[in-house]
Amino acid sequence: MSGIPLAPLLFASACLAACLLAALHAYRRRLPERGYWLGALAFAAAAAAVWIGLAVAAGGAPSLLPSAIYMGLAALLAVAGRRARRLRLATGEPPATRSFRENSALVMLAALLLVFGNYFRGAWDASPETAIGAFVGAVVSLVVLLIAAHVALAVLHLPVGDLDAPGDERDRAVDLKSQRNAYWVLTAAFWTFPFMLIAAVPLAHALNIWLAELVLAELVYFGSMVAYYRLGAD
Amino acid sequence: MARKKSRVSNRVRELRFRHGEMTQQELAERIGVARQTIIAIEQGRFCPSLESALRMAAAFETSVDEIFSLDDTG
Repeated sequence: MSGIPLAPLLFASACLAACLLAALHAYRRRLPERGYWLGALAFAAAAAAVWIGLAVAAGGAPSLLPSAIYMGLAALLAVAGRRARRLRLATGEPPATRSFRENSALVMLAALLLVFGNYFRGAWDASPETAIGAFVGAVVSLVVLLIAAHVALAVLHLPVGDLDAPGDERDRAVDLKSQRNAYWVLTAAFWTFPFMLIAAVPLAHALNIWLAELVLAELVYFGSMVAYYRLGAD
Repeated sequence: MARKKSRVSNRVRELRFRHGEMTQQELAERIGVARQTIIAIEQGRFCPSLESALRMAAAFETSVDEIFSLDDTG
């Protein structure tokens, strides 16, 4: 840590603070594109600062990954700024976009399918130690994936004011009906576990089946939300 | 006794345009719902609560049965 120069790190921190202030300013002024573009510039500058800092600290060519993450966020903000400007200048009503909640449900569904699909593909015949490691890895991957996807969703979502809007009666109806659907799967999952133990199913398999049922309940919940939002909740 | 399948149709889009080309966002703000909910109502994918229907009627200065009607399809 002592080898890392202070100036680039301070510069990177200042850039990030400027980005947050710009975003706040844009949110209040309802002129989101300026905030997005300032934010993109700040992240691009922070990427350069981080790369220089790491290069000086390492005494050679450092890993490009941290800077690439910053540049990716900068590109995302730049795209969001372009969309925001186009929408603000457009006459008439904006297109019938999905709400943030609907997009979030779609992301949750896709992330669960991807992460736990991958986990269950290898976990069935794995030893308990390997399965536990794979499970922890799956949970960490899911959290990281969901945070990254929701940050991207929030940045790209328009109009900006939609993000913190409370749910309305349609959101509540969709949520209640989706919970009802998932409840049946969850109840079945609750009762299958003692039956599996009575039937002498190996504990590792029983736990995996139980976990699969819990994941299935979540899939039913988010899948129902997506379906009700698209096809109607009546 | 067979249960009748019912469907509620509405004239929300028509009434919006009759009231100074009111936008979906403006109507949504007056009723207190999201714009996507107005879109869903206009497309027949969501039937609003009685309270929202009454607020909508107030926004259009008309009665609820001028906005919504029940289509019985047997």
